[in-house]
Amino acid sequence: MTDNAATLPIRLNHDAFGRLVVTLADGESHSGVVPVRAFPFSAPDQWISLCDESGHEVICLNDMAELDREARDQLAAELARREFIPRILRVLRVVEGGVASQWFVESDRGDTSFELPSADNIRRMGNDGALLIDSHGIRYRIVSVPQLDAHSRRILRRYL
Amino acid sequence: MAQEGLWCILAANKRPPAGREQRTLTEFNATCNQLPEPLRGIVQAVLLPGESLCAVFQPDLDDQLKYCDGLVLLTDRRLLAKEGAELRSWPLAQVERLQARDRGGLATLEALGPSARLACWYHTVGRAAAAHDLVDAFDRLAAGHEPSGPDHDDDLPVPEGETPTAPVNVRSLFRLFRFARAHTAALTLGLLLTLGGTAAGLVPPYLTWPLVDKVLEPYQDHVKELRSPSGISDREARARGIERERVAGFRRVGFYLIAFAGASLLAWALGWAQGWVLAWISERISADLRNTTYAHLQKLSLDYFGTKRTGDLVARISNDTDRICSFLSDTLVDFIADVLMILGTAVVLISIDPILAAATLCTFPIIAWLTVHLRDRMTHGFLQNGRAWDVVTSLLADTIPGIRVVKAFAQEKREIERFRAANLRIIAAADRVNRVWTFFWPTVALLTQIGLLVVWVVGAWEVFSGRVTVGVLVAFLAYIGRFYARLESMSRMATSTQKAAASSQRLFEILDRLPGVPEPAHPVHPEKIGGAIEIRNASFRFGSRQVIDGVSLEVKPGEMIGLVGTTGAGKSTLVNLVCRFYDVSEGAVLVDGTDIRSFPIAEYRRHIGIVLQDPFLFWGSIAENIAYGKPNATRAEIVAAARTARAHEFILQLSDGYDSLVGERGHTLSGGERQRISIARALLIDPSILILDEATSSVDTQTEREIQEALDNLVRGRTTIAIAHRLSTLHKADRLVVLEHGRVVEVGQHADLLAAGGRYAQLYQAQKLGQDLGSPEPPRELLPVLPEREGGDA
Repeated sequence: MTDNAATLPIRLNHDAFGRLVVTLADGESHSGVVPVRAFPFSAPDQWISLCDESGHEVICLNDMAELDREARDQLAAELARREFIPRILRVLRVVEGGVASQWFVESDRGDTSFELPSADNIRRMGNDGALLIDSHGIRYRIVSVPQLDAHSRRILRRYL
Repeated sequence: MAQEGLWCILAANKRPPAGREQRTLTEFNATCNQLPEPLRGIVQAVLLPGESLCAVFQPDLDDQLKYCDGLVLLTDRRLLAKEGAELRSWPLAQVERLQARDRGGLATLEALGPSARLACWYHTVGRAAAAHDLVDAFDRLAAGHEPSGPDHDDDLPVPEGETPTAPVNVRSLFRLFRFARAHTAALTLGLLLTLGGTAAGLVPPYLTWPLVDKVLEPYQDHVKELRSPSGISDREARARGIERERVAGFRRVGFYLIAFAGASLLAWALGWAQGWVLAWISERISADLRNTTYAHLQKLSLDYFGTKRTGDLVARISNDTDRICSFLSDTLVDFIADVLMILGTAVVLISIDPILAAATLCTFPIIAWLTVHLRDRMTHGFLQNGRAWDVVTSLLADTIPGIRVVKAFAQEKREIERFRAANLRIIAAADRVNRVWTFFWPTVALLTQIGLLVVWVVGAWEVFSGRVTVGVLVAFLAYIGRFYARLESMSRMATSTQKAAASSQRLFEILDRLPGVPEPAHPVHPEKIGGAIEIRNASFRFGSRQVIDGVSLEVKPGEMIGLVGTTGAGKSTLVNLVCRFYDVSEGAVLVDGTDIRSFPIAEYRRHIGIVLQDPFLFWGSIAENIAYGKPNATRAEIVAAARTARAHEFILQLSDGYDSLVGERGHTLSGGERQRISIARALLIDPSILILDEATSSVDTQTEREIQEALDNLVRGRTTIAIAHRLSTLHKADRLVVLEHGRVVEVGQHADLLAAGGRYAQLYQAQKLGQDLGSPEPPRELLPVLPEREGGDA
């Protein structure tokens, strides 16, 4: 069942209201917990905190790998439902309009377009990555700029 | 110079010999012998046999406040003053008190008798320290002490600071060579290329000479001869071989023209290579310059930054280095090429015909003189220009971060007006410079035209008198075009040279500044710091102001001390002395029994955690900000520190958790949140000594309670010095130290001090009164803030 020796005795499941319920080792259970990644970019799979509705931490999971498979799947599914950070796979074109620019991209969630308020809204993430924040505050990630196609790289070079 | 020597001796005198045994007479005479001539002679002349000298002070103003050297001596028997040739003296018994005061640069030393003032000496504030020493020496004598060294001074030798070599003031541009030395090989290559390019550039005009004299003219003469009126028909002429002559001549023309083109091509290629190599070097030199200046800036002590405007420093590191870079890559290269070209041309010209050469070069001295003459005026103007630019950048650096204040007080108009005024200064400074150089360039152009005219006149005369051929004149004219073009570009260079000189002067102004807190010459490396702090009779003067006046305090490891006092009592300064942001003027600060001046600064500060009133967050993620003092901290350590600082949960609520970016001053976070991040930052380095400087003064009471929890976690087990206006913040302190005018007035625990009814009790009552008067505060022991806020004494 487990593929990791050090598993945490934590169970995760959903209750009838669709809320996430965590049951700790001592049998105590909290419903309506929210998983939060403490380091969403630098260490997405570590330091995942489960907070209750008022924002207090119930338990902090140092590494997702420490969970058993079932709990890990539950957690991953919950995180996936809660997070919307499309990953940009290709930059199709950019229409400049003064300070702001309109971006047409292909992402892992499908093709989309968004408005980037200024060049300051593109940030380098680590060595290769980049984060774009559009005018609504939605974030788009580029995991590795050098691994994009030549056309996308050429566009991004103007901004990075 | 003699006076400076004296300062040193006075400073040295304050360091007593080892042991506290009474100084003998001979030792005093030895002191006297240390005085520089002619002072020593004067002093020895007025001392009676057996009288020993205790202190020397040289006032530098007379009673009309005009500069004038005076002399005041304190011996074990008398107070002596020498004014001009007149010597006045008072037996010590007559003198009740000596009093030194200073205000706004002017200081006085007064000798007071029982019923009247005996004398008053005026001096500039630079000498105030010596005057205070004289007063101290008098007080010790009056107290009946042996005339030994200051008895409160310790036996500990003051650790010697590294003495950096004083900068030699050479022309600032030449000092750039220090940065060029690293690129000697590339520079040599660049110069060789320049030399080659110049030589290749000299060939084409030289070719015009044989082209005219050996090809074109002989052919023309030949044809003329053939067609001479002696009457040979065209046909005959052709028969005589004009055609053959034409073909041969044409071939020679072809040869010269190909050589011409080849030399031009070579000059082009070499010029390209040389430009690239030198641009490469200059880019690196200016990067070195930036790095060096920035690194030096980081080493300077806090007082330097207190007197400088941010924008000014930013401009120096960015604009000035850039200007130097463009000078090195463009102007300097052009200059070298110009000089070589001019020298080369001169040599060629003289070798062809000395008289014509002399005519060509006749305007050269005038241009050179003009350049030198105007150069100083231009440097001055460019420096002024640079200063005007500083004002503008400083204004921007001031108002953009402070934009909320500007808008809140609706002062946009005034700021625009201020900016306009600063801009006007740029215009005025630029106008002054422009007047000079706009005159300069056309003048140079006129001079070159005159030169051309002179060459034509002399050349024509020489051709008519048969001294030179037409070919020589043509070659000369070809050279002269280049020559004057070069001369003109050289004079244009004067402008950018002066700009670069002004820039490098401004950079060296930073580089020549010696750090106020020197690194120790013989460092003691602290293995682990236990946290015992001893402040031994520490004094600190800020200019003429005595901010800390003989404070002695011992703090045991793990003890928490609360510093209490009104604004300007010297609390922040005392803490800055412990952090070694400044060095004490007198006395010493010891940690674990070692003078902190013996520790390398960075190693010492690694053991100190500081939480400031206004926590500064750098541009970067929250995790990076927490790990600022320990960049290699693991995520586990960061999270643990944040948890202890009560910051973990609010960080999780941010959209990107620990990876959230915070702005320059962390604008997206509230004051309490920023404060808790700064507490986590201090926790992470696990310091043995902790400084809390008004850590809770800028937040509301609810937030304060949260911060207080975080602080309580932080304080545990560490030696802590905390400053707070809200006396309640100090409820955990083991001892409270009440400061007033730089002196410790009370030490004790809250209850004892309150019972004693002293200064602390007054402060406490004042806060309590404030509480009774108003706010519906939660009762606890939280008290409202004192009316004034700290800020002026750092």
